Amino acid sequence: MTDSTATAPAPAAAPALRVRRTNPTRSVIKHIVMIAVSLVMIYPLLWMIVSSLRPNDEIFRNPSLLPLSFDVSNYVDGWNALAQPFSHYLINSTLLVLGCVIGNLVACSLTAYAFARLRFWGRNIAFAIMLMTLMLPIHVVIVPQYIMFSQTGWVNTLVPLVLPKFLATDAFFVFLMVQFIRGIPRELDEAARIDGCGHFRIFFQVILPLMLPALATTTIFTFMWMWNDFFGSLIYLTTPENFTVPLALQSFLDSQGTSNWGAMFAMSILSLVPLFLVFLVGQRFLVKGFATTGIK
Amino acid sequence: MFTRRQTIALGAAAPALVALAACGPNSGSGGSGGSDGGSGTLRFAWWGNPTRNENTANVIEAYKSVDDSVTISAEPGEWSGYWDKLATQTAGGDMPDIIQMDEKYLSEYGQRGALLDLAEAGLDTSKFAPGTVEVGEVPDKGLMAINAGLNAVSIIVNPAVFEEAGVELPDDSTWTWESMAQLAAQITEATPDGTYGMSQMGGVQGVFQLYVRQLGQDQYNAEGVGFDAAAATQFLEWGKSLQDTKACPDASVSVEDASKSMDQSLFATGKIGITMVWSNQVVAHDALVPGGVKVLRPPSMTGSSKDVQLWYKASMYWSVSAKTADPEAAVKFVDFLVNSPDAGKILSVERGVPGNLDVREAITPELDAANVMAVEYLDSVESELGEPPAITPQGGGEFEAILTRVSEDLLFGTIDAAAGGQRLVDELNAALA
Amino acid sequence: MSAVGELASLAKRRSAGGPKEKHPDNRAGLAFMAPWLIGLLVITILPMIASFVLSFTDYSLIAPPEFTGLDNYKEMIGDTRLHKSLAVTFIYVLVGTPLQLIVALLLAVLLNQGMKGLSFYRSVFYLPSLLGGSVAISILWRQMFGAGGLVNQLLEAIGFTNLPGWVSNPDTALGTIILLHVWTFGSPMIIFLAGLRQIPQMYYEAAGVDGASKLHQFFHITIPLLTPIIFFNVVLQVINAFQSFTQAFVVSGGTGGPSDSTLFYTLYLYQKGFTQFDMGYASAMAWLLLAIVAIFTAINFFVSKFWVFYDD
Repeated sequence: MTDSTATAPAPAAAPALRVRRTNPTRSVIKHIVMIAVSLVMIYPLLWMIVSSLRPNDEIFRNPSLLPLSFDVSNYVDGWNALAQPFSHYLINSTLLVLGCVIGNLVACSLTAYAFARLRFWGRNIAFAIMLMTLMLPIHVVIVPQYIMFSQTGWVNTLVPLVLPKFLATDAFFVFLMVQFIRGIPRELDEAARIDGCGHFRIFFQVILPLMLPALATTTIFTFMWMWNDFFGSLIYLTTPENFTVPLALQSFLDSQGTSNWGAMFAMSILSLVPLFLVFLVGQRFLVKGFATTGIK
Repeated sequence: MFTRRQTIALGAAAPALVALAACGPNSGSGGSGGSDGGSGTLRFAWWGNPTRNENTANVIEAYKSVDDSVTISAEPGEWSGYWDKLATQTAGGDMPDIIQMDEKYLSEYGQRGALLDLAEAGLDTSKFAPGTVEVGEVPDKGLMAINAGLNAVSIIVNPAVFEEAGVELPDDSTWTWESMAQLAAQITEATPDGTYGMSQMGGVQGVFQLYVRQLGQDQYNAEGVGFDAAAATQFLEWGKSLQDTKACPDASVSVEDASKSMDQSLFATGKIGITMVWSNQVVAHDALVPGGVKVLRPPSMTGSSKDVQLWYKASMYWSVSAKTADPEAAVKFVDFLVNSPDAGKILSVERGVPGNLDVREAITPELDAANVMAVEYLDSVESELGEPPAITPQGGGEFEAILTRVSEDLLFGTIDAAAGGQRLVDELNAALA
Repeated sequence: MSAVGELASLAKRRSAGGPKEKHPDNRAGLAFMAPWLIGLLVITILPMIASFVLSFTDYSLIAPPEFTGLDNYKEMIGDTRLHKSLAVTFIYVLVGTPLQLIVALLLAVLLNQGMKGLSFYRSVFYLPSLLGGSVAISILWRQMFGAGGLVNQLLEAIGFTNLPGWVSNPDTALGTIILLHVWTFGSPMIIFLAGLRQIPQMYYEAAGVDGASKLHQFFHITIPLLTPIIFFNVVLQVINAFQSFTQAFVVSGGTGGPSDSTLFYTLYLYQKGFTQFDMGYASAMAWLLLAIVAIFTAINFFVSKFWVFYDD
C-alpha cells in the first residue's frame, strides 16, 4: 500500500510492492474471504440494531433482518425507564473502567518487567503462584473476597472492583506483557545499561515504548471486560445509584415474566458505542508496533 | 468431627475470615454510604422487573409519610442474579434487612437461622385468609416469611388457536388429563405445521405436584420425598404420551420452548393452544397474546373439579434478616407492605393476589379486566382446594432441575418412564440429604 | 510446576554468560514487584487459602462452615454429574481451543498484510468478542440455531430436510457452544496481531533480499518470532477454556441442559455453590480443577522448551 512505501525503508518496500502488484487475483480472493467472514461477524450486531428499532411485541415474532419499522421510542424509553437516566450508569461504568485500565497498565507492566528482565530471589516460584491465581474459578474466590471487603466498609463502592487492578491481580495481563517484553531484543536494554541507565529508566525509556502493542491490548481488553463485567459488579454494587451498565441492562429483564426487550437492546447498542470507540482508537496503537522500524 | 471453633483454629487467617463475617460489624446494615449500626436505614432487597421496581419504589416513597424516622434503601435485582448476591451477602454477615423470599429457598435460609420469626416479632397476621399464613412457617423455626401474594396452578388457553382449529373450548369442571391431551392432539391435527395443541407439561414442576396430589401423594411430606416411583412414572408416561400423540411439539422444540423467556414462548407467540402458568402470570400472558387468554382449572383424574387438589402457594414472601439492627422497624415496614390498603393499592396484584382479605377487598375495584380474571380464578377455586402442601425442605429447590433433566432424557428417548420415575425419587432423596 | 523449571533453565542459561552473582536484581525486583506482592498477600492469596480450607467443610454460605474432612473429595468419586461435566469440558477444551486459535492466527496473519479496508475488517472481526456473553447474544444464538432458526432455513434452502433444533438437542448443543467459542476469536486474534506487529521488519527485509518466498518467510520468520505469543495464547486459552462459564450459562440459561449435554465444569460448580448451597463441595471442585489445569499448564510449559523461541 502507498502508506507503507512512504514510511518503510526503500529496500524493503520494493520486493513487497512487486509481490502485491503481480497478484491482483490474490487480492480479490483475499477480499472475498474477508467479506464472507465479515458477514458472519456482523450479523448479530445488525440483528440487535434492527431489534432495537422494533416495538417489543415484534422482536420475536419477526425473524427477518429487514428494518420494516424504524421506531426510536425504545431508545427514549430505555434512557428513562430505570431509577436513574441511563447516562448515570454510563458514567459509573466509565469511572470503573478508567480506574481499572490505569491500574492494569501501571501495575501489570511493572510486574511484567520484573518477571521478564530482573533476576531476583524467588522469581520462579512467584511466577508459578501468579499462574495459579488464574486457575481458580471466580465463584469460589468471590465469597471469601466479599467477606474481606465487607469488613472494610467498601461494599457498594467501586473500590473492591478497582483496587485489585492497582495491585496487579490480573495475572492474564502480567503474563501477556512478560511474553511481549521477552520478545524485545535484549541488546536494546543492554545498550541502555552500558549508557548508565538504571532499571526504572530502562523500563520507562526503552521497554515501555516498545511494548505499545501490549499496552494497547491491555487497554482494550481491560476496558471490554470491565465494561461487560457482570458477576463482580452484581456482588459488590447493591443500590441502583451505583449500578454499572451491565446491571442496569439486567434491570430491563425478568427471567420469570415479561421483559422490556426493546429498551434492553436499545441501551445495549448505546453502551457498545464507547466500547467500539475505544477499540478503534486502541487498535491504532496496536498496529504501530515497532516504532523504530517505521512499518505501518 | 470438629466443632466450629476447632475449624477456626485449623487454618490460619482464611477460615477465620468466614467466621469473622458471621459476627462482623456490618451485620444488618452494610456498606451503603458508611452508615454504621443500621439505625435509621433499612436495606430492602427484591427481585423483579421494571414494573415491579417502579411500584416498589413508589411504596417506599409512600412509607415516608407513615414513618419518616427510617430511610428505606432500595436494592432491586433480577431473579437470576438475586440469589447469588443474597447468598454471598449472607455469608458476609451482610444480609439486607428486608428480603423478598421464594418458596424454593425459604427453608434454606429459615432452617439455618438467617431469618427472623415474624410471629414472635409481633407481625399482625389476623386479616389473612385461612391457610395463607402457614405457607411461611418453617418447621421448628416459626414464621420465617409472610406471603406477599398468592398463586395457584392454572391452565390458560389461547382462544384464537382453538378457533383456527375449529375446536370448542373445553369445560374445565369435567375435563381430565386424558381429555386435555386428546383435545390438544385434535388441535395439532387441525392447524398448520408449527402450531400445537398444548405445551409439553411433562417437565413442569407445578403440573407434577398437582398430578401426584391427585394420586393421593404430594411432592413432599413431613419425612421428605412425598411421592413414590410408581406415581412419578405414571406422570412421566403421561408426558411422553403427549409427545407421541403429537398433542405437544417434539422433544427438541419443547426443550427449546421451555428455555425461552415468557414473551418468546410458543404460547405467547400464538403457536400453542393450552399451557400451564401460575395464576400471577396470567396477566402478563394476557397482554402478550393478541385477543387475550382464558383461564381454566387444571384437569383432574376423575373428571370432577372437586378432585383437582389445588392449593394456594405464596408467589413470593417478605422476610426479615435475623441479624437486622432494628427488628422493630423492619417488621413495621413489612406490616405496612402486607397490611396497609394504601400499600396494597400501589403494589396491586403484581406480586400475586394479596393474602390479606382487607387489602384484597380494597384493591379489587381498581383492577383492570385481566387482573380481575386472575383474582376471580383464585376466588373460584377456593372451595375446591386440597390439603396445603408441606413447604419445600432444604435441598428441595433442586427438584425443578432434576425433573427437567429426567424429562429431557425421557423425551429424547435415552430412558423409559419407569427408570425416570425411579430417578426422580432417588435424585430428590439425594438432594434432600 | 514446570513453569519453575522453564524459568530456572532460562536463568541458568543467562547466568552462564552473565555476572557471577545469582540474584543481582533483588532490590529492583522488590521495587517492581511491590504492587503485585501486596495484591497477592492482601487480595489474592487469602481467598485462595480460604477456598482450600473450605473444600474440607460443609459450607452452605448461610450457616458457618463445619469441618467434614475428605468427604467432599470422596463424594466427587461417585458423582456422575461431575464426571459428565468433566467430559463436556474436556471435549470443549480439546476441540474448541485449537479451532479458535487456528482461526484467530490465520485471520491475524491475513490482517497483518497490507490491504485496503484493513482496519474495517479488524473491527468487524472483533465485534462478536465485544458482544461476548451478553444476553442479546444468548437470545440470538438460541434463535439462530433453533428448530426454525436461520441456520435451518439456510440448510433447508440447499436441500436438507428433517433438521433438529441444534441448541435444544443433546447431541448437538455442545457443538453450537464450541462454534460460539470459535466465533469469538477476536481476543486471541488481537494478541496475535499485536505480536505480529512487534516482529522487526528488518528480518523480512533481509529475507526479501535473499529472495525467500512469502511462504518461506511465514514459516521461517513469522512463526518462530511469534512463538512466545502463540505460547501465551495456548496457555491462557486452555486455562480459560477449562473455566468457561458465560457461554454455557447464557445459552442453556444456567441449567447445562438439555440432558446435561452442556454442563460445563464451572457451571456445575456454580450450581453446587450457589443454587444447592454447597460451597464446600464447590470449593473442592475448584481445587480439583486447579490441579487439572495446573497439569495441563505444566505440560504446556514443558513442551514449550521445544518450540518457543525467545530473543533473550
